[in-house]
Amino acid sequence: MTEPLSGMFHGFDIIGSGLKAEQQRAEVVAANLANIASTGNKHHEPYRRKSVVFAEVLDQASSLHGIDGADQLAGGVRVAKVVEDRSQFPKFMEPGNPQADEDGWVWTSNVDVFKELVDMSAIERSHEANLAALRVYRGMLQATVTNIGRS
Amino acid sequence: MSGFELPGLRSWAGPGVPQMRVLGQGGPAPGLVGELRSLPAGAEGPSGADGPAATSAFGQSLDSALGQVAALQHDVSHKAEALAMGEPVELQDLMLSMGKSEVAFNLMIEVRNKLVDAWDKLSRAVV
Repeated sequence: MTEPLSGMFHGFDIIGSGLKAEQQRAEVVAANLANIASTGNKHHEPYRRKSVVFAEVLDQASSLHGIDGADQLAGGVRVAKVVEDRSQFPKFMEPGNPQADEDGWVWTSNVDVFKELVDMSAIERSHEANLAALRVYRGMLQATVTNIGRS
Repeated sequence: MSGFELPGLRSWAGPGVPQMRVLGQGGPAPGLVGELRSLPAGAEGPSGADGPAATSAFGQSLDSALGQVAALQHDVSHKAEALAMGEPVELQDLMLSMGKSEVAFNLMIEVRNKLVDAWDKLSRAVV
């Protein structure tokens, strides 16, 4: 016999994993923007843009456990890894820069501020969606609990 | 309270989870009502100390559910305190714990109201 009440709150944990994943994604965007002015040269690379890869978390504790097809259902999400953007670094001819190589070339980070802006908006909306799911889920539980008193 | 005490809840105990029986289906319910009927008129109910009421499955699951609610509340206060102390507590984690604890507490209150209600009804029953 499982612990009482534990199955009731499984949705909270799924939503929590979503909120946490979005937070980590926002952290990566923040790191990209913070390092946007990083410079380097062909001997010493500047900051590479990072992005996250999500993976589903398979969870057997769901209330759907035992239902046909539900074992492929994700019980949440997690950040599987942080990958680097392999695109080329922009180069500038700037011999006066202390980071310039012997030919005068300076490399800057391959962070694109507009890409980050779009990512940031998507993260914000995803976060809001998770919070809306939380509101609804909690409202459903609370309405059920209140209904016990009325019935 | 002399002479009358509520019978123990042992007859509610099914295998594992307590099973609520619907009255009027499949003959007389062997639950609480059945036990009440079987009491001889004027007889004293089981005093509680000698009956297995204290260790019934229903009582146990109730006790364990109460423990769970208390654990959730303890979890919330622990996290809130840790956050206030500047320890690395995730904000959404605290929020979710508060949500869990609130719903669980409200559920506990409703169950308690039901139990008090049931006891009240039984205590006013004309034997």
